[in-house]
Amino acid sequence: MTDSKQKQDFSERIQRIQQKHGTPPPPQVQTEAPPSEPAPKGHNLRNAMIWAILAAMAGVGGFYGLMMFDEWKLSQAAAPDNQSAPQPQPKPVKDVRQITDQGWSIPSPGLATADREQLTVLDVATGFDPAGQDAPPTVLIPFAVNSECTFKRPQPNDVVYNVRMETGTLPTTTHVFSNRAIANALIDHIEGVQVSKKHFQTGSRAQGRMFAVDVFVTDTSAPVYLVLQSFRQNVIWNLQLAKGVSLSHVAMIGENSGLVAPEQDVPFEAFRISDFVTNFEFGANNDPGPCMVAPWRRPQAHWPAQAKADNGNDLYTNQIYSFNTGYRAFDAWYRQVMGVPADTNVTAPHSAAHVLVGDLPDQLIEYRSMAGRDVYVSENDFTLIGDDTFEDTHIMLLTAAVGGDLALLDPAPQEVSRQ
Amino acid sequence: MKLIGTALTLSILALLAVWYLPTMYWGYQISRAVSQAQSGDDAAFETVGELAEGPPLVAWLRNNKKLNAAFNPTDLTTGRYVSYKLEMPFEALLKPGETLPEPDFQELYAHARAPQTLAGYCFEVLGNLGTKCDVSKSNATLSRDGTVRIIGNLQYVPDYETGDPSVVKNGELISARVRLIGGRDLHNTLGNRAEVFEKVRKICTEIRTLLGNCIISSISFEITPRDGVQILRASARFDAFADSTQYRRDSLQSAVDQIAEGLVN
Repeated sequence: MTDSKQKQDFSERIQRIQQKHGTPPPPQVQTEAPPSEPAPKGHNLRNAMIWAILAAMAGVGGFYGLMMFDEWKLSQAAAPDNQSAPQPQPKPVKDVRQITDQGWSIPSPGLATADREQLTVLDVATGFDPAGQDAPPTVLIPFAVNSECTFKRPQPNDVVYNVRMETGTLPTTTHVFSNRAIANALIDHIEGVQVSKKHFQTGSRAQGRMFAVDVFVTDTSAPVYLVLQSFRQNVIWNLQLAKGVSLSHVAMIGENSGLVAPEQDVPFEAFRISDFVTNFEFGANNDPGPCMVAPWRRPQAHWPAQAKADNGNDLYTNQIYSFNTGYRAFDAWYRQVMGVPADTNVTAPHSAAHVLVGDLPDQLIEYRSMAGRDVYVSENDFTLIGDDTFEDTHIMLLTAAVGGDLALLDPAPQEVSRQ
Repeated sequence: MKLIGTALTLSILALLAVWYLPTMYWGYQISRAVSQAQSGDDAAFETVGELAEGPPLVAWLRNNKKLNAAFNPTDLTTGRYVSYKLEMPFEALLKPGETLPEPDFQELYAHARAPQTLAGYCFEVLGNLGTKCDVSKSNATLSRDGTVRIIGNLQYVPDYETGDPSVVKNGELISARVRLIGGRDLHNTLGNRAEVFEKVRKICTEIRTLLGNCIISSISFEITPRDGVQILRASARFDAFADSTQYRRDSLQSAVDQIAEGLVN
């Protein structure tokens, strides 16, 4: 018997005795650690980073989600009041309106109305051709703008209608601008060529493009005195008259104003805002003055900007303050000149291509585009039709200014070789 | 894990040592210099100017960019130019027989013709200073009396020996200015401008002898009409990459002043 056999026998005997007496077997001591998997390392830093990234993503997502929810709530609030009311004649209309901070922008064929009803030009007119609505006029006839700061006062039996907007939405190829406007644009352009090395055919151009706005007039109860106002861009107003409408006067306020030759022989006049309000910057031209013709719109409850201001947003609070101040100053001047408040029968979208003043017509109006018609435009140094002509005008003037060779705007480097 | 923690700690300490503490010290220095300058200490203005380069790390990064702009041997760079301030009647911009444009367009014409007017001075830059010349900046104004003022820079590639800044230990880009027409007015003639170029080159040669390298970073010509004649004023600025343990801006400035004085007298 070997030693190991004796040790094993002894060990087994001890275990039997212990089992018999109910004592637990002694712990088996391992003399040699068995090979095993390495203990898992801690990944606290990695996990912390992963959790931080996840938390940041969730936070950013949540933040934007909340912002979008707010926007959604605001757009719901901005929807017309009668949206949920049952419509007498349900008519599927594609809603082309877009809410901006300062009210609805209503591109064609949407129709801007005083009560912000969701309509299109097809609800008031027949023969409307979307493809031809920006067709160019035949002739531009310049007219002298009013330099006296006093419009003809409405007659007692006139009914005054106001259309007031920031811009039109339908660009035309008609351009009206001053010498100074094109000179300043080309000076900016030259700096672009020299500093940013832009090609001479790209860059600044005079801001003179006109936007077409149709005004559907339906009130036959009295002679209509129209006050058409565009704050930020040049507009060509195209009057579309319902049967039986009688116009007494058309007054326009804008930088450059145009009027498609009306069906009726009606007197018209226009102010150029910058003739009277020189500091033409947002928030800087809203002070009362003897000739405060800048046509500010009164902030409305449905404007998201108003809602944001009401929620305590400082930026929008200041913006709304500026709008209100500007409107009060404009209204003061308007009342003095016109004898009625500036919001009399007003339709005041942010921007639009078609506007309805008055109720829906009993009979659809035969739509008349400005194609082939004469357009009166406020007198200026340049009045031209066609984007190519507009571009050529810039290139010709720039070529003359540089002395014949546009390459001299950025002369080529000169070099000599030295041995 | 322990290793990462140690690395993080060391990184934070390194950031403190390299960025935060020097920046704090820089902030202290510039605050003190500004308050000294405000209390009337003229010397403090120089210190403020130097400190305005930014904290040490920023200054180092900027120096490298400036170094390339100054010493690049082949390319036109913003670090080397000849600047011209010109005054002339608007009619001088027109070609013989050309009709005077409407007043609304005269400023546009001045802007449009400024680059070619400035490019006309490239011939003297190429003849006196460089192998390449290009109009890098131009501007024009028209005053009510019909005077056009044109300001612009002509970048150049030097045709002179600049020295080798790469051999400098503890290098720092330092600069000095000098007014070249001392105490008397010169008529604006081609010869007088050529004289200015010559002086500037001589000063730069002396600086290179002293410090091993030199760049004429700018020459400024100001030409103004007075009593029927055109008066020329000129100044120049030199850059050198010098051992910051031996030279500072003021030492280069005094060296340049001495050299310039010797040339004028």
